[in-house]
Amino acid sequence: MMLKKIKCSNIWLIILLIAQMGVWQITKRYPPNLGIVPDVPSQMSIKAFSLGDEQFYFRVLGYRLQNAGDTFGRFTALKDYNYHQLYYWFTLLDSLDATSNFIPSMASYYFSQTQRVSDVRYVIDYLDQHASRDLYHKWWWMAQAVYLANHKLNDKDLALKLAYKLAATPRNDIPLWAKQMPAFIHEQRGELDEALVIIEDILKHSDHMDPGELNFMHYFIQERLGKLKEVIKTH
Amino acid sequence: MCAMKTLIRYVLLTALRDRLFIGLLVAIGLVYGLAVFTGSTALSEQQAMSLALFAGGSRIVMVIGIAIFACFHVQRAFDSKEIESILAKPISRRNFLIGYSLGFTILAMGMVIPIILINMTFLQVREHLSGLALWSLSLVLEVALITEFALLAALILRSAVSAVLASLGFYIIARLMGFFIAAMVNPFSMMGQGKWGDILLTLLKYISVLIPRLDLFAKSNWLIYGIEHPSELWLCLLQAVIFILFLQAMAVFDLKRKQF
Repeated sequence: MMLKKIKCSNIWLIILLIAQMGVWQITKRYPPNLGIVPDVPSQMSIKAFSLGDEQFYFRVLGYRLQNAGDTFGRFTALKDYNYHQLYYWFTLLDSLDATSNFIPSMASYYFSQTQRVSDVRYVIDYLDQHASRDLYHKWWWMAQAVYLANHKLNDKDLALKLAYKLAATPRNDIPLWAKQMPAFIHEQRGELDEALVIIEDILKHSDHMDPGELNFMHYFIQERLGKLKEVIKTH
Repeated sequence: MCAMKTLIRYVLLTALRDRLFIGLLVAIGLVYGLAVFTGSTALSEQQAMSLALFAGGSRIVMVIGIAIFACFHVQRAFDSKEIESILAKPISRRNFLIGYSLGFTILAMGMVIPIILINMTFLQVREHLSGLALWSLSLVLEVALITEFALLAALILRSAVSAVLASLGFYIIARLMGFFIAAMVNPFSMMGQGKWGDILLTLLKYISVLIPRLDLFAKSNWLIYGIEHPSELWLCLLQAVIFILFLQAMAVFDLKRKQF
């Protein structure tokens, strides 16, 4: 009797094991949707999910965004990313921590390298937005935005607009090239007079200037703008 | 006083017997390893990444670990009649609970020490020492508060599993209080207009009166950027002291009515 019971339970065990294997054959056809850029949550939901420790959640989400598309052994080309969604991720994460440089550095050094050049505009828009909030501390990201607009996107109008913002940084200890940036863009656009005005203005308003910087400005006016004589006349 | 000291010793000995110290240390070590590994693969701000992940992770480990220990400890003390045996000694029920609370608080303080050491030595929080001090103090207060709630839940519910679930539920709601207050300040953007929005708003108002705001405690931000508002320390202290005493009073009220 006992032997019969054991045999019966063994048969059931084998039947259920086979059934489980059969179910696996069906379920394995439904792989999880890994996606590339995760859906953007609402600002309210991230505030709630942070459970009061926004810095911790900011780092968790930032890390997740950094590795988006490259998880589970996948490598995704940047051209396949949805940059519209990425832009919303960047701005959303700024609402958790706008002081950190983690997101702007990820945007300007990594996501800007996309093969689809038109997507760089999203990165530039984000960097502009991020830096404009606190230009005193974040001027570097505005400089990156100018660089990307000028050299990657080749949108000289946008680059000039951003260069003027960069030059307006309210501090005197930033490198002089940041103040000269609009002149360089004007020069590239062939607007030599405007470029000269900017350089002249810097010369007028700088008290202590490095000899190297003076030499560069001299070179810039003489060689690149061909306007040295004009400047000498006015001074 | 002597009885209370014995009680504190008893709590610490049971923690040692249950391998709580080793268990928590191993868990904190794992969190540290994971935080450093994750931080080292970040594109930039690697140290800040490790620090924030370790701070958040170790806080969760501490709260869950000590709350679970408190709930199961009380249940086992009831089952093994240890509580009856202790209460048969010349110790009042109030002092019994104070002794228990102090024991758990000392336990929390002891377990925060390795976290502080890791933060200072391996993660090099030297720039914002005041931030580290506030973070550590508020972590002890947060764990003490949750442990006090776990003690009360274990006394009332008697089932350790229910007490653990109640404590974790309370912890999540208390950590969400900041969000709830934001919802109350701007109700229509979060709950919409209408009857249900009004009901939810009223409900939140009543809940917020009774539950402390744990979202003001142990912020990883303090370790990375330092303290912006020193008044945050007083807010944490005031809330913790008042709420711990309130929970203590509730536990005394409940224990005095218990028949053994």
